[in-house]
Amino acid sequence: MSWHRQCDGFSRRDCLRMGAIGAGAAGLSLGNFLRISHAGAVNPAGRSQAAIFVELPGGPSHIDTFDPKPDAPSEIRGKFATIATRVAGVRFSEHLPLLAGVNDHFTVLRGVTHSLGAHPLGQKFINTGNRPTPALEYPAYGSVAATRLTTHRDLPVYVAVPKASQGPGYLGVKYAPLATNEAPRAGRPFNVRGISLGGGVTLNEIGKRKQLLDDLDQTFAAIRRDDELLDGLDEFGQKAFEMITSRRAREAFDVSRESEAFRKPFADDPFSQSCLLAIRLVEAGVRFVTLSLGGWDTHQDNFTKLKDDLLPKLDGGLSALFVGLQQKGLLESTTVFCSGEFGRTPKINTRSAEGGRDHYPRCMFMLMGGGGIRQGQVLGESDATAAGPAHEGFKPEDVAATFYHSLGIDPAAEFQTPSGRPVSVVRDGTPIPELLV
Amino acid sequence: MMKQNDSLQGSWTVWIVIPVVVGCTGILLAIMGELGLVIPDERASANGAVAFRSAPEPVGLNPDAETVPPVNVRFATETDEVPDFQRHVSPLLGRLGCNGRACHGSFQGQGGFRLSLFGYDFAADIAAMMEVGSGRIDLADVGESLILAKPSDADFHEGGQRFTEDSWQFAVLKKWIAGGAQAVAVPAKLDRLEVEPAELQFRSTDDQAELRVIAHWADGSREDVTPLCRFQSNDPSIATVTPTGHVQAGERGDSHLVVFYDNAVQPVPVSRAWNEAAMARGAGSGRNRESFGPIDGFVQAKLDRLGLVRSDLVDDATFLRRVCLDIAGTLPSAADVREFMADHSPDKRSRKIDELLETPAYSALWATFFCDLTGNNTQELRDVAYAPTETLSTMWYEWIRKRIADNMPYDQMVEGIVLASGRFSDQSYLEYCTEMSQMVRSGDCDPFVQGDSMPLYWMRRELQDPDERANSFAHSFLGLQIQCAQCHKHPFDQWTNDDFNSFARFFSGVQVMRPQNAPKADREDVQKIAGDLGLDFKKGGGNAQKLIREALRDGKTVPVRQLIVTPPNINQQKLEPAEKQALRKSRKRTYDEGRLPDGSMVPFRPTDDVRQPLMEWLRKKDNPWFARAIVNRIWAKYFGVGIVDPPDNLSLANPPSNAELLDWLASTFVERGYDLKWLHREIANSRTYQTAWQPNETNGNDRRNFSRSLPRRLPAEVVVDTMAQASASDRDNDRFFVNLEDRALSVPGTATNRAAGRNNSAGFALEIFGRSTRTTTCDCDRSMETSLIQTVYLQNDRDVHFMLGRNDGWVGELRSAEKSGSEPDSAAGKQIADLENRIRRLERGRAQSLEKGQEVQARKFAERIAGFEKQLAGMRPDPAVATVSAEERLQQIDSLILEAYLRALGRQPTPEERDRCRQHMQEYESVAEGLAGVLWALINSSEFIVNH
Repeated sequence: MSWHRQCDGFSRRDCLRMGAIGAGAAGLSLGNFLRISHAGAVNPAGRSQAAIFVELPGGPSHIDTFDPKPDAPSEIRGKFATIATRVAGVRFSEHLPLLAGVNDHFTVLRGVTHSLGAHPLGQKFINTGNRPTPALEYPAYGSVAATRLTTHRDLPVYVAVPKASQGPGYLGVKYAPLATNEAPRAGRPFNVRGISLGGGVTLNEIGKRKQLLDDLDQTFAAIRRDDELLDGLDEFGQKAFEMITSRRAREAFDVSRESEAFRKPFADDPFSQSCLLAIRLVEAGVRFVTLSLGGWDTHQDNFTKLKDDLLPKLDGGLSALFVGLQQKGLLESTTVFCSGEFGRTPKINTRSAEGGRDHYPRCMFMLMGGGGIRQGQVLGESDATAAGPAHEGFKPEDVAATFYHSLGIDPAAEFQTPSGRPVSVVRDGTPIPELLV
Repeated sequence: MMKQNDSLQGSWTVWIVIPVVVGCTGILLAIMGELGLVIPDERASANGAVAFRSAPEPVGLNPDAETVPPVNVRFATETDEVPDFQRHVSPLLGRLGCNGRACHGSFQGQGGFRLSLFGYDFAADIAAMMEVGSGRIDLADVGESLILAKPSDADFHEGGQRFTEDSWQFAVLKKWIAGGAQAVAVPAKLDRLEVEPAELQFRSTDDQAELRVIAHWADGSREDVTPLCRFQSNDPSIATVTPTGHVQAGERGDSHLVVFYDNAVQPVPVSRAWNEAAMARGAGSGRNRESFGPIDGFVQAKLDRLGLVRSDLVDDATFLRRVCLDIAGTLPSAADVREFMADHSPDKRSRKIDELLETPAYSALWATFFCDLTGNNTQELRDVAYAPTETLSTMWYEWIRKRIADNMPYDQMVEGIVLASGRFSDQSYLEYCTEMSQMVRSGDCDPFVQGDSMPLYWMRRELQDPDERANSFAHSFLGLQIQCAQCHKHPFDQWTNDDFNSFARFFSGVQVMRPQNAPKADREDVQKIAGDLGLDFKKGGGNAQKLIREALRDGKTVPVRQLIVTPPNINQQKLEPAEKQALRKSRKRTYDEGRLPDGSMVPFRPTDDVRQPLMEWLRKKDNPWFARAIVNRIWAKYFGVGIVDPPDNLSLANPPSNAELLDWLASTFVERGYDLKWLHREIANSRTYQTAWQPNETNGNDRRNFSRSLPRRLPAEVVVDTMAQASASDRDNDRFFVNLEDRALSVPGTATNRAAGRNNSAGFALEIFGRSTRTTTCDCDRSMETSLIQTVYLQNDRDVHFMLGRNDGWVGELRSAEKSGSEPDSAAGKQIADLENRIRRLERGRAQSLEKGQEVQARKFAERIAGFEKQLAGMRPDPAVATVSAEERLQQIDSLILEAYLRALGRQPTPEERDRCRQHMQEYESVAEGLAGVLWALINSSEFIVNH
């Protein structure tokens, strides 16, 4: 980043100054580190301290879930009946009874629309808020959040359970999540790669080794503070040790420490247990958690898969997430955003005995609730056959901008890529006022 | 806000020129009397004045009769002159910020008014201003034109007041409108920008300067365009520049100021010496000035100008570790270190360099590098054969690796990629499919690797669009980031959107043909293959893929996509509806010509493979980028920073830190027949490369002039491999240069999760250490940064614990020997080692089960472990027998500490380090357990993870 500046507008000196603060030593060259280039990037209007992003890879059907069309012809309507919800006049699929009971905690967006009908492209779009381009890999929401939010020294800022499908992109590995790689199991202690001690290494042993390391690692002592890489290695080395040996970190990941009563609503499936883990992590101070529930690519046997497997899991896990956050007093400070990469075709295909639905980015749903978000409403509307938005429709970029805004991150704030190109957090989106408190 | 310009009016009249000859370079020193600066000549330059080096040509700085004074002078008073859109109005709009990204340059426009971003689309800009009913230009009542009224705040302007009604800016716009708002009939060609001073050397933070810019047009006219230029500083900590060209000195160091006008970009070097005393001593100082080759002369010249003294020569041990890692991505084994240290011949360094260049590890490291550059992304090859794509990535990797090992000239290797054809010339489609099917099935890529062509570069799924191919090509082979121009004038270089589109034409003639669309000649073959498989393409979709995958597994020939070269087809997506219609009528299908990035036009004949002239152009001696890009990138791998940095941005606005050095390297590389090993040798043998990392009193903060070696984190693959190597058994520790099996360096593509099983599931480590994902056209796709997740991994990941203690590793073998009281290769020792090995594996399985929450499974593991432990206990000899004296034990510990240091850090421990390690190891009853801690600490030290 030694040479570029933005084409117009800000002064790179500000950017350098900010960078120097971040690196902890003035007058350093900035290497390839990305720096926030805009002043005023943190938006005091944001209400949330933390966020949970729930990705639904595969692309869930909108008609069979949160945007039912009971009056449409049967080849569109599908097999599911609808039920009333806690919010007057709003109906969900009959297989979402628990979410129907807590939809005063979130808003359903209907008629969200885009045009990328392939899984990888759609996921990149929805999981970053930026339409993908081969020129630039955009970062996941959590990675952007990790550039702005801080927490206790012995905790990671950003955790993915079990993994995030979107990486840190142009922000670089520094902003990658700590991935648990596995989901916790109900009532069992949870061993997290890198955090939990194992392989015969005890707390005492690692402590002794670390002392030895600190005494031996003196080669670069004289130049360490003047070198970004060496300084970073030292700093991250200390922090890693604090995390590994921290009781707070170990306990935050251990869902079995939660009381029986609190654990009860969380079913014994990986997604529900991940939701429980997310609450514990946020409670401990983790600022961003990504969860994932996959399997939505129901080209065949759409209804059986939804009814028997996917919807009960989503319904149970997500509703317990909202209720649990509320019980712990975290709901008003934690934004929850849930979305797949697209909706599914209104018309049921006939390739399998039962029928399925195919990729359909033109019309989809998204859910957002918790801190800073106006809750208990439906925004937007799809047309009579859920084939497209009835009116203008929501752009994924605008939803992403709203999500960032709720966290106090200005979606128009800019990063500089290593090649000097100014890139806003969300390239082409503005927060949706109706979605904000 | 532009009022400050007025204070500069007439500044051109006060230039004073005092040429002073310094040495043989003919340096002109100039000052600006207006600023009250002392006249610097050779003597004066020591007393804190500003030294300027002027352009050698032309000599005159005085505004002569031919140079038109600047607009802010000409339009300050009443004049009959009508400004020109290209020369005055468009740059003025840029200067005022009108066509910036935040204003009317936004693709959404502002207030319904959109200008081309950064200008240069003259027609569109004039059309936008002339739009009927917009009132932006009112030819009848010039004063009412909104482009005058709004920015002068006579009418509300969201962008605020940009100039006042009595300003020259207002006058320029007004006169242009009054003159009929004439369009640009034929754009004038700008020859060059002349900037005075051509170089700035500051002495103190108080120093200032004014830039003056003269445009030399191809028609011979000259104009002072200072008030119409855009200025930027590439490092504002060293110098800042105001919008009017006023420069203020800052910190020590060197960088460039950049001047933009029309489509020209002119850099101006700016510097403030790091150490005046050292600079004054210059060549006389004598310290560390030895030269091992031409590189050192170029570097020294720059150091002298900045008052930098090069660091000392690196010691042998550090050199050995550095050069092994840089050339071959491999640590020297303990034996290598001993041998090198014992060798006292003067040419041992260069012999080591020659030796390393012949190792398989060299070819693996640099094949990985070229796979990054060319984008060997496994996922993007998934359509080629509907089949496991790892084999395709292996073909790509091995094709390159063979050529690296053979030291094929770089241009020939690139030719194999750029001019790749789908199949051998005498091969039928059926034969092609049969061969590909066999290779994909068996994983034996030899026929592909032996072939001249590497078509996979063109077959990546997300690179089918000519625009994306143009971006990718420019990145891979030219080291350029041209994608800005895909949508608008490039802000940091010469290309306009038209230039980009014209260049993209070169990439519209390569098609990746699906079997069902195969050309006529192949159709019979396609039908035969499909018929044999019972494949109906029309049914399409997932079923066909499944069928093909199964058929492939069953040993049948399946249809494969092939590369077809056609004439450059017109990209209809780029056309407006009217243009499309016109095209349909004309029945024109192909482009007539294309424009290369250097601006030259290449006529296309309808039958051409237009990649041919592209390749010829790459090879031209005066190609500004092809050779420079590769020598600069390879240089950057050795130094952690390019001569141009970032190395994939050879843009005009990002000049090299040492142009003479880059020019020499590039031109000599070409003269030497694009000989890559020559380049490696020349770099590694230089004094510049063999410089210590320890800074001296002058160069602690210099990061761009190669005055010292910069510590660099090891690349992801090398991190994984060196950990395995440092902890390997004595037997294996030596083999890493030769044996590529299980090395992360030999993972060909990007499906690194599939690399699980190889090298302890290297995929996870490769990801967190930032192995290139090869998804974007940016060298930054590979990350060399450090992160928390990395240090967590190094300290406590199960893979690391396992690797350090694995039974067939160094510590593991020692443990076995210790427990059996015998040498590991005795019969009893072997049996014990075998049991130990099983226990380690079970322990790892147990850890994984625990992570997965599979408690039952974990308990089963634990039970089996307990069983084996019992068995082991019975086999262990009586401890009394194995007792060694305290002295023997200390000797053993010391020799292990020495060995650990040689393996991990390539050097002996200092006495203090040895004592501290001793202290640690003596806390353990088992020497092996103590050693595991020492090895852990060394692997976690900065010295290990950094090449220095």
